[in-house]
Amino acid sequence: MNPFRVRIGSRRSLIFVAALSIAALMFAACVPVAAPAADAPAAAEAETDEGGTLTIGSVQGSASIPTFLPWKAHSSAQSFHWNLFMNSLVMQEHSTLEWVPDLAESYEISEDGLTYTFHLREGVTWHDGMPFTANDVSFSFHAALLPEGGSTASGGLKDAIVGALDYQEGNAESAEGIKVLDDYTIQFELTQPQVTIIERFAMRIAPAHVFEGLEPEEWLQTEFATTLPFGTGPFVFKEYIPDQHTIFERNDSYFKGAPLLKNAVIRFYGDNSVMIIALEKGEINMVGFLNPSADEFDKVTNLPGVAWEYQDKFPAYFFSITFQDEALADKRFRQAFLYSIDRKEIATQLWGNADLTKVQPVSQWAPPPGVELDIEEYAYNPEKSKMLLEDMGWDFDRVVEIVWFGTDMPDQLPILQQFIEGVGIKTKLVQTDGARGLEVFYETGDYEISWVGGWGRSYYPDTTVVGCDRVYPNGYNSSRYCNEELDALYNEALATVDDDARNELYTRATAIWNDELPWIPLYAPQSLLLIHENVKGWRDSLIGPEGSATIGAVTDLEKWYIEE
Amino acid sequence: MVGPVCADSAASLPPFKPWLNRGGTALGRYILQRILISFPVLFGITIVTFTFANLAPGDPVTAMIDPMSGIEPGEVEKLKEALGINRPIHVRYVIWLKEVLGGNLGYSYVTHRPVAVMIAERLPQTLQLMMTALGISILLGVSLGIYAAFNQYSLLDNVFTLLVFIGISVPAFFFALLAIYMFSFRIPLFPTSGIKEPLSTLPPIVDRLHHLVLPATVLGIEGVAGYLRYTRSSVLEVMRQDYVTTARAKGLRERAVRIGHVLRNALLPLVTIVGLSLPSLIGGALFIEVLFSWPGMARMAIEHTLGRDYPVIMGIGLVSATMVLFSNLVADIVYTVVDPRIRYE
Repeated sequence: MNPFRVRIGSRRSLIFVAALSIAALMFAACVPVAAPAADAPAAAEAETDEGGTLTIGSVQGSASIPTFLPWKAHSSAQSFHWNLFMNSLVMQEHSTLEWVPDLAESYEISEDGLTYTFHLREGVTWHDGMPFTANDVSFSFHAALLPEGGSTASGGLKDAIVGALDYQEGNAESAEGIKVLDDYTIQFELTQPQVTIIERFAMRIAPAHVFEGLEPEEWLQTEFATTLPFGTGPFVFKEYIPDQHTIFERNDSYFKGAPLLKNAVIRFYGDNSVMIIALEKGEINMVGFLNPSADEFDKVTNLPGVAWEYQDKFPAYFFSITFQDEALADKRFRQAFLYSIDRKEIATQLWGNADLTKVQPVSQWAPPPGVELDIEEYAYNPEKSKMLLEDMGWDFDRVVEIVWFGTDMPDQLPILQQFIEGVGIKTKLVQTDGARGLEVFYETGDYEISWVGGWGRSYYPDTTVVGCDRVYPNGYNSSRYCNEELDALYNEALATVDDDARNELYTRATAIWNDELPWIPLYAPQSLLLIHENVKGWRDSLIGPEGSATIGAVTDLEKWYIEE
Repeated sequence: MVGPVCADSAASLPPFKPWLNRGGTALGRYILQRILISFPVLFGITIVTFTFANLAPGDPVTAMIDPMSGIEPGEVEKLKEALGINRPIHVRYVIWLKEVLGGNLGYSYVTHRPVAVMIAERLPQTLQLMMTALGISILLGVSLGIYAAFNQYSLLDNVFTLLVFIGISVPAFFFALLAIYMFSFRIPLFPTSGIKEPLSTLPPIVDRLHHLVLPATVLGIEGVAGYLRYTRSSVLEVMRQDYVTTARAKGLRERAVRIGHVLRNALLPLVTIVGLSLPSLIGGALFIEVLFSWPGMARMAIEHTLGRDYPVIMGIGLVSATMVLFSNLVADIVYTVVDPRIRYE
């Protein structure tokens, strides 16, 4: 299964896109951020002339790579392809979680937080030899505004950038707020200050000249989109055979210095077990987002010559309890509900490991520095749960329905039910088919408790799933929770450029969330990254400050090499 | 209808000279008749496939959408309209049928590439795998079956029977995993999977064969059991016929009796069995293509079924159904040609 495809039953597939890797914004207004020196040669260049071949295994099939157009993000398999041959304006330094310039040499933000100016690197060329300019950046962000060109990224941009909506609706030739000042300077004007916009600038840039003269509808059918894309990145795209492999070759004129590896290959497998055999055998030397069962966990973490790391993974699992029922809306019931479940035990049994902190509202990957997660953990406490229920006068004869969507009951649901019933809450599991799922869950809200098979949350949370005015179709507030104070905090935080001030707002919002439980968080299972010990230079590119890895957006593949 | 009509079961086969025994027009009419019958069958299959594919919960748009990526609910409807999937199912079927009759299989909802091109890329891989597997099945199954029949109740006959039961009862995926573990990992003779090494220095044909051996053998072994059992009982049955006794009584050498009289008659029905085994081969290829990362049609079918990619599902359904119908047709025709005892009406 696609690890970034999170599900609510079988109906809503919420795809959390790795390309929009989310992290801390650690710069102050108007402080230019310098790029790492472009000409700094990688240290081990001399002794690893050949560099070897990095072969990455993936079980994602061809349907998870619908296109190579960067504005249509769909899966982590796509992201990893992009990492190898494309670049973006900014990227996230994994060891520090800082946003640093990539194709930009530096960038600055105006004091009011409304203008972002990017100074681009000069002398960067596309793999076909054409020069990279601000025109390519402008084209890519305009393309991202057009769903007819395949874009799934327009939502975060069309209201954020001045004139973007006019352009999308065909009322303007271009978005007024995207300004090419000269060949190597581009400026974005925002409609209001919005810290999350930096994530959007991590979108990969595509070469404008490939799409010249084509209608957006034709973009998806180009050779670039389907079989042979190219970019400015460390590797040149050589061959793609769907469900088989993709081959990349070192780009000797990469602007950050030629990669140490000679080739990079992504091999696609149809089955996890076969991929593990291939890893053990040495056919591949890296596997990401592996989700072994608790039984397999010991085996895969003890493969000879293979190192492993935990890797952050979506989805997180939740219960959604309606606020349209007086008793269920009582926060004591919600707290009692959460206290009744031994989440740690379930997660350990099912996946060998799971991170309970990752389901808190602020953090999905790691808390932004400065946000203190001083929160109630709701560790398993059936006594406290019973006490809360008695305190609120819960009707112990009442049977509440827990609805789930789809065709196969999730393994964890009967286990969760046992825990919940353990404190005296009578429940009944009710299946709803996928077609009705959307209607029940979002449109009518006609349910008591719903098991939600997955939810990815933004690093900078907003009101999408909790706002008073965010009931479908204005958002995804399925529980009909409403707390104007929380809404105000989130909205203010989004518009606050100063780190400390924003973190203070998030700290306060988290406290409310943690106490009132608009959603009942369960756990975020973690997956594994397995990598052969002869692969070197990857740690700095993958490991975040919390110690777990991500390959959502690898920042410096050119420094990886194979030690013979 | 075709069926063995044994007018004179005591007679051994005449020399194989179909051009003497058959009136061309009668055969031609028969073939035409069979082809014409195939069309309504194919039509029926497309209706069933289309209905089931569309009845499955979910649709291609909701399978693609990520609310967190910023797509708004209103845009979901727009996308559905653009793909035409908000129209009633019968209207969609008629549109699809019209396009197919005009030679257009449509575009994939997922990759936006022409379905015909996607299938054309995959079909050769599937055929290569299936045909090799079929060859292995027939070769092993028939020869072992003959041996078992001629040496009925011998030790080896019993061993084969045992192996056949194991072969029939072990699921294909388990057998495939076992084969990969044994012959790719423990004894590293073959690659675990794939059709070629990404950066191979071997000549392409050698590289391809190296990759083909394991999946084709596993898929082929699944069919061996059937052919072995069929051949064995067919040979045993023929050996009891009077004309075989007659042949022996005439003083023919045992070798001549077995080859000229027993095998010629016993193996004829195999032609039909081979034709009829195609559907199960296509089904078997499903597991094999997934486990061995063989980029064929079955692998693509699974991928795109999960994404509710109707045009691809329908395209693959149509091609598979055509293949099955065609192979049955060929089996029937070949049978009438090689066995003069068959009458067609």
